[in-house]
Amino acid sequence: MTDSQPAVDDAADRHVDLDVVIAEIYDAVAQRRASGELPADLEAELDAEFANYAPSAVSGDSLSGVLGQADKAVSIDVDPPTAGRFPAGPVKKSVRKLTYWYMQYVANQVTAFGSATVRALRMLDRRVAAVEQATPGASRSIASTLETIDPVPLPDGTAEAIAEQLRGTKGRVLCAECGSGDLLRHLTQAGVDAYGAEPRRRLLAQALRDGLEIRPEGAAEHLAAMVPGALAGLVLTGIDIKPTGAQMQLAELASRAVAIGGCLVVLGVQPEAWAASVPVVVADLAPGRPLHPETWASVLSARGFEVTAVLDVAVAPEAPGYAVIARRH
Amino acid sequence: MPRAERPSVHQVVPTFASRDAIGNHTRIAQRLLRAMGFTSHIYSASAPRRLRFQIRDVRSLPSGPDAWTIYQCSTGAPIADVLAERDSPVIVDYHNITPARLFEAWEPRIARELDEGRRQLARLGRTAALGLADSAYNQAELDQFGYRATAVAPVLVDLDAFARDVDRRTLDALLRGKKGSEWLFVGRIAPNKCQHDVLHAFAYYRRAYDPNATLSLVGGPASVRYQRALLETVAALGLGDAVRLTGSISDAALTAHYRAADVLVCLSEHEGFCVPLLEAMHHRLPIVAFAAAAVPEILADAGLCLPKKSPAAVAEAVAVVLSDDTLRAQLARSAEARLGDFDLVHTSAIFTAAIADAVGVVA
Repeated sequence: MTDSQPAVDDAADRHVDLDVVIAEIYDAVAQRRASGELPADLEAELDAEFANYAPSAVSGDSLSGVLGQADKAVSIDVDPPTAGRFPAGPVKKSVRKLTYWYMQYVANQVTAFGSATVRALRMLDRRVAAVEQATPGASRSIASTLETIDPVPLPDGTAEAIAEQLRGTKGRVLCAECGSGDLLRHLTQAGVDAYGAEPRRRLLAQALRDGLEIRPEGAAEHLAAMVPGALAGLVLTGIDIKPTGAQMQLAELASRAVAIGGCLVVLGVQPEAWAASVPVVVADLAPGRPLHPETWASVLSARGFEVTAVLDVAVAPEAPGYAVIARRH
Repeated sequence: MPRAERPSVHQVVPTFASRDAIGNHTRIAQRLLRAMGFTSHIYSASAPRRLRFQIRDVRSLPSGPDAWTIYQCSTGAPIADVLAERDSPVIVDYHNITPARLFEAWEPRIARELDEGRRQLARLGRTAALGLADSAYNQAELDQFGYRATAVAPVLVDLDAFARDVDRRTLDALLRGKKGSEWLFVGRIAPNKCQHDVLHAFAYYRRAYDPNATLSLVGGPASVRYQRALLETVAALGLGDAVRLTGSISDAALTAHYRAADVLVCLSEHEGFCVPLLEAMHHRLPIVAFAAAAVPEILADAGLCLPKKSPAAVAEAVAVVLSDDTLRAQLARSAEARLGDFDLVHTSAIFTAAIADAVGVVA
C-alpha cells in the first residue's frame, strides 16, 4: 500500500476480466473522442512537440513532421561556440576567424541545395496528399469516418448456414473481421474451435465479456503473421467495402494460411443489392465494392482452392448475399 | 561430485554497475554459486573503483576445462568474442539485447554495440553449454540463435532487501508537494523505454482528467540526446513544475518514490524482463503497461497491459485504475500471487538447479 492511496482491500471480491476492462477503455476513448469530450488535436500536438527535439528518423511516418525538421536543419550555422579556458578558447576563436570565409562559402552552397531539396519534397508532399484525398482506399479521413459505423448484424439463418458448413472441422477456424462477434458466437456454439480477428476495438467489449476469443487486429495483418497452413478453416466477412486490391490480397493470404483440405468461406453481398444493404454513409464513402460470387470463384480457383458450393444467404435483413465455400487443394 | 572437487564457476559482466538489475543479479548469483561449493568471482572490464576488491579485472579470468564462466549478456562487448574462443565452458545468462533500431537515430554508437552484441550472442550459441534466459521471451530468442540447451531462470531480485529502507526526506517532499495523482516510471532514460510516450500520456491525462497530476521519471541517462529531447519537450509543454527527471537515485529514495506514487506507467517498446514491474507489485502499486516484448509475460494479470499506447488510451487506463477500487484490489491480489513466482527462494532454486544441471553436479 502506498502512503497516499486509498485502501483497496475492502473492495468487493468480484473478479474483473482484464480483457473486458481494456476493451472498455478503447471503447470509452472512441466515444469520448466522437463526442468531442477529449481534446481532438492534442495527441498530434504532443507528437509534433517531441519531434521538434528528436532526430528526424524518430518522427515515424509523418512526412510533414520530418520535413519540418529538415526545414529547421537546412540552414548551416558557421559560427561555432568558442568558449573555453586558455589556451583552448583563444585557439578556437583564431580558427574560427581564419576559416570563417571558407566555411561560409561551403555552407551557402549546402544550404541552397538543402532548401531546394526540402522545397521539392514539400511540393511532392502536397501532390501525394491530393492523390490520397482523391483515392478512397488511401484517404485517412474516409477510413476514420467508416471506422465509426457499426456493422449490420448478420441474420441468424445465415450464421447457422455458415456454422453448418464448418461443423466438424478439426483444427482452428478464424472468423476474420468478425465485428461484434455474432457469427463467431454461432460457430463456437456449433462446436467449432473458432476465434476472431477484428481491428475495431470498440466493438469487442461485449464479445470478450461473453468469453469469445478475439484478436484485436485486421484480417490481413493477422493472416500475414500466421504460419502457412495453420488454419483448418477461414471465414472472410465484412470485406466487401475494402478496395479491390485489398480483397485480392486477402485471397492470397488465405491460400497461404489455410491448410490442404481446409475450408474457406467468403461471405459477401450481391453487388446489385449492396447499396441498399449497408448504412448510407458506408454506401457513399466505401473505398471498395463487393465482388460477384463468380469473381470470387475465379479468384480462388487461381489460388489453389476448389469452389464446392455457392450458397444464397442474406447478409443483412432483406439483403441478398452469398457464401462461397471453397476447399484448399 | 564431492564439493571439494567442484570446478570453479565465475561470472563475467562487461560493465558492472552496482545499482542496476544485472549488477544485483550477479551478486546474488555469486552468493548462490559459493553456497553450491563453487569457487566464484565476478570479473568485469569496467567497474566502479570502490568495488575493486570485489570485482576482478576480466584479464585475470581463469581458463581451462574446469573453469566455468557465466557470461551476463545484455550488450556487445569485446570479452564475448574472447569467451567464444576459449577452451573453458560457458553459460550465457541472457538478459536480452535491445534491438539496435531503437537506438539508431539517437545514439548510433550504442546501436552498433547492440548489433555487435547480437552477433556475439549467436557466436556464443555455437559453443555455450547452456543459454539461461530471464524470461520465456528471452529464451525464444536464444532458441532462434541455435542454442542447443536453454532454460528460463528469472532475474534474481531481493525485493524485501530493496524495500527495507526508505528515504524519509524524499518521501516527505514528494507527499508534501502532491496535489493530484502521482505517475511513476522507473528505468534508464533510453529510447527503448519510451519515456516520451509516458510524458505524452501524462500531458494528456493532465489536460483531460487531473490538472494537478505529477510525474516522476526515475533513472540515469543511457542516451544523453534522448534525455535532452525529453527535457526540452517538458519545458515546451509547460510541464516543468509537474515532471521530475530524478537521475540515478539510491534504493531508499527509489522506495520513497514507489510509496508516494499512485500508478506505475511503463510504455517501453522493449524489455527483456523489467524489474520495476516487480518492484511496483511489491509496493502494491497499480501498473498500466504497453504489451511489448517480455512485459505481458512478467506482468501476467497483475496490471493492465494495453495492446496500443495512444496517449488517450493510456490516460483513460490510468483514470480507470485510479477510480475503480474493485479493479485495483484485484490487481493487488494478482500482484501478490505473481510475486510468488519471483520470490528469491523460488528463483534461487531455479537458478541453482539449472547451473548444477549444466555443470554436472548435484545442486
